[in-house]
Order: sequence, then C-alpha cells, then structure tokens
Amino acid sequence: MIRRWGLWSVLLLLLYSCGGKTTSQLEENMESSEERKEQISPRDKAKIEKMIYSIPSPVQAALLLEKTGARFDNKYMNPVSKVSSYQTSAQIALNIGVYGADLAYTNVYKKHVEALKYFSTIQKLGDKIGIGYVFTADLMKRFEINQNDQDSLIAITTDSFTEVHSYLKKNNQEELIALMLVGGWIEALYISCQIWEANPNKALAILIAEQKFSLNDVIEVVKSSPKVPELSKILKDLNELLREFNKIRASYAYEKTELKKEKKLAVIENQTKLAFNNDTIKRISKITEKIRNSII
Amino acid sequence: MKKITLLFWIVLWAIFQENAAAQCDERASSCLPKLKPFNSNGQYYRVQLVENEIGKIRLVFNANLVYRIASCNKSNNGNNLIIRIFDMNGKQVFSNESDTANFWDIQFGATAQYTIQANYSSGSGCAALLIGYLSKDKYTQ
Repeated sequence: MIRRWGLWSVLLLLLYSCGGKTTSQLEENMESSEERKEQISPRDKAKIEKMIYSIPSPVQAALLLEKTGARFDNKYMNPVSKVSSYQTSAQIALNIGVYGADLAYTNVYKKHVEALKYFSTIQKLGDKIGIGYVFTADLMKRFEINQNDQDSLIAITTDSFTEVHSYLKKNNQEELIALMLVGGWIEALYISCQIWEANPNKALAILIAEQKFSLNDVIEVVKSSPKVPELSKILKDLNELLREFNKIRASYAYEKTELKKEKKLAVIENQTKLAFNNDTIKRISKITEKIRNSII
Repeated sequence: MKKITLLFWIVLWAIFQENAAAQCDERASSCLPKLKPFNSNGQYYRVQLVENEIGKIRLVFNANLVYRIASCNKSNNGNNLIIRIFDMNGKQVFSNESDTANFWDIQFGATAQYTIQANYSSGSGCAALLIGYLSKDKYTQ
C-alpha cells in the first residue's frame, strides 16, 4: 500500500512540475496558429513566445476622434431601443462592444444624459451574459453623481470594461471578449467614417487610415475564436476591409529613444507617413457600414 | 480503490492548477490603481511564464497620446518583469532593463504597430500588464 502511494506521489510531482506548461495552455486561445507553430519544445533552452493581440479601446478612439475637430452627432450611435432585439450570447457580446463605443463617444463629448442611458443599456445586456455584477447599482450611482466630471466618467467606463475583460478571461470566455472587442472597434470606426462622409477633413481621414495598423490585430482576435459562427462571418467582411486598407501605403522611420529615468518616461522619436486617397476612405466607410449593420 | 486514488490525485492536481491561474487573475485586477491617472485601455494582459518563456502583446500606439505600461507582479524569486518594445521593423525602441520600475510612461512620435515583449530574467510566475493612456495635454510629469 505504501509503495502504491509512493508511486502516486511521484506521479503527482511529475504532473505538478509540468504545471507551468499546462497553465500556459490556458492561454493558447490568445495565440495565433502561426505563433503556435513557432513554439518549440520546453526542453530547448531557446525562448518560447506567447502572443496576445490587442485592439485599441473605444475610449481611446473617441478621444482621438475629438482631437480631429469632429463634431458630435447622436444619429451615428446604435439606438438604445434596439437592446431587446439582442438574444443570443454572441449578439449580446457584440452589441455590448457597440454600445461601449457609443458610451465612450458620449463620455468624451460630455453628453452626460446620453452617456447614462448607454451605461444603463450595457448593464441590462451585461446581466444577460453574467457580467451584470460589474455594473452594480453603486456603480450606476457613481456614474450619475459624477456626470459632470468627464475624467471620472471615463475612468468608471474604462475600469468597468477592464473588470469585465478580467472576469471573462478568468472564466475562459475568450469568445465573448473577442466579440465585444470587435463590436467596439467596428462601431468606433463606423462613427469616424460617418462623420468624415458628412464633413471630410484631413485629420479625420488620417485617423481612419491609421486603423490599417489595428485591423491585422482585430483579424487575429477574430481568428482566435474560430468556432463562433458570428465571428466567422465577420472575418470574411474584415478580409474585404483589409483589402481596402492594404491600398493605403505606410512608410515608417525610427530615429532615437530618450529615456528620462527620474520621470520614468521614454520619448520615442519616430515617424509614420500614410499615402492614400479619398476614394479608398469612401470604400472603407462603405464596407465598415455593411459590417456594422450586420452586427446591430 | 485504484480508481478512487487516481481520481483523488487528479482532483488535487487540478486544484493546484486552478489556484495558479486564479493567482494570476487576482494580481492583474488589483493592479488598476497603478495606472492612475491614466485610463486603462480596457484590456488586461496576463500570461503564466516559466523560465525562458516570453509574453508578447501586439498593439498600436498612437502619437497623440501618452501611454503608461504598468507591470503588476514579480517572479517567484522576486524579479521584476523586463519589458521591451519593438517597432514594425523589429527594432527594439524601448527596454526597462536598466530600471525595472513598476511602470514606465512612453510617448511615441509615430502612430504604428508595436510589439511589447515581457519576460523574467530568471524564475517563473504570472506576468500581468496593464496599459493606460492619457491625452498629451493632460500629461504633466
């Protein structure tokens, strides 16, 4: 009997010593298939890489949109009245992303009454997929109390979405994360494109063209959840969008990095130039509209 | 009896694994205050690293914002996370190797795609990062 327990103890130790690798496997869905192929045996002392693709936040997109001088127009947002039409988890997650981008847009433009409506709509949708606990009554109250303090509202919004991200990741619901991120990215791009169509200006066109850099990462996030039919459909449309974005030529040059150690600040001096014409932006706008309308 | 014993050990092992992952989650969530006054980009990045492993995040940094990269934890032998940033050409444009502080603020001259690379010089553990941003006009340091 003692011998048998001894054998099991050895087995346990062997399993536990492999623990790092097994825990790492939880992260596998964050990696592209290409990256996985690049991985090598842990026995090899060369470094093993784990890739995560990141999508710009809708709040960041809204802040940059405001800096171009674009004006607020609520007709570009997804009406909150549509909330009851989202029934499946995928529809709900996609539209939490969409409404999240609309919320960011209202927050940045200080449209506090509308912001509250969108925050409350996200809370309703969140309840349906088990993330309502983040958007508690206390949080809603904080949102209301701080409705004239833009910085607080943005902080509440971004912290809430970070918490949602954390929760879903902990529960291995990476598909919902992917759906939310993609919904938010598309809605933010849609709003920028619509404003540009109504009133074209160069700064806004550049902001849209810069999404060229993000689109590859959006596609990788979508590819990481191949079993979600809604994402497979979006992937097809994103590839169409990619073909248009690929017509934008980018040149990049790095100069130097200055480290200010006492301030913990690094200033990287580099430049990017984008070459494109308005027709490309128009086509990007049309494809984005098509994708967005298929989501909402 | 054999089957029960096997089941016991499998359950015990699963609990160990679950605890390791949960620990990684906990540390990331409690890291948000390190970003203030920057706004979180809404995502948190965590990966369990064993020796010789590197976590990579590919993302776009915008020239009109200032970013804060906050490191949330240490390796099991007390090492801070080493963070390097590479540009689209694969050139290293930043490294905190000379000062692995809890956070670094970074301004980019160009909006472009970058890759953050994170690893421990030795030891293993959860590597968790948060990334925040702030308008340049609000950045006063």
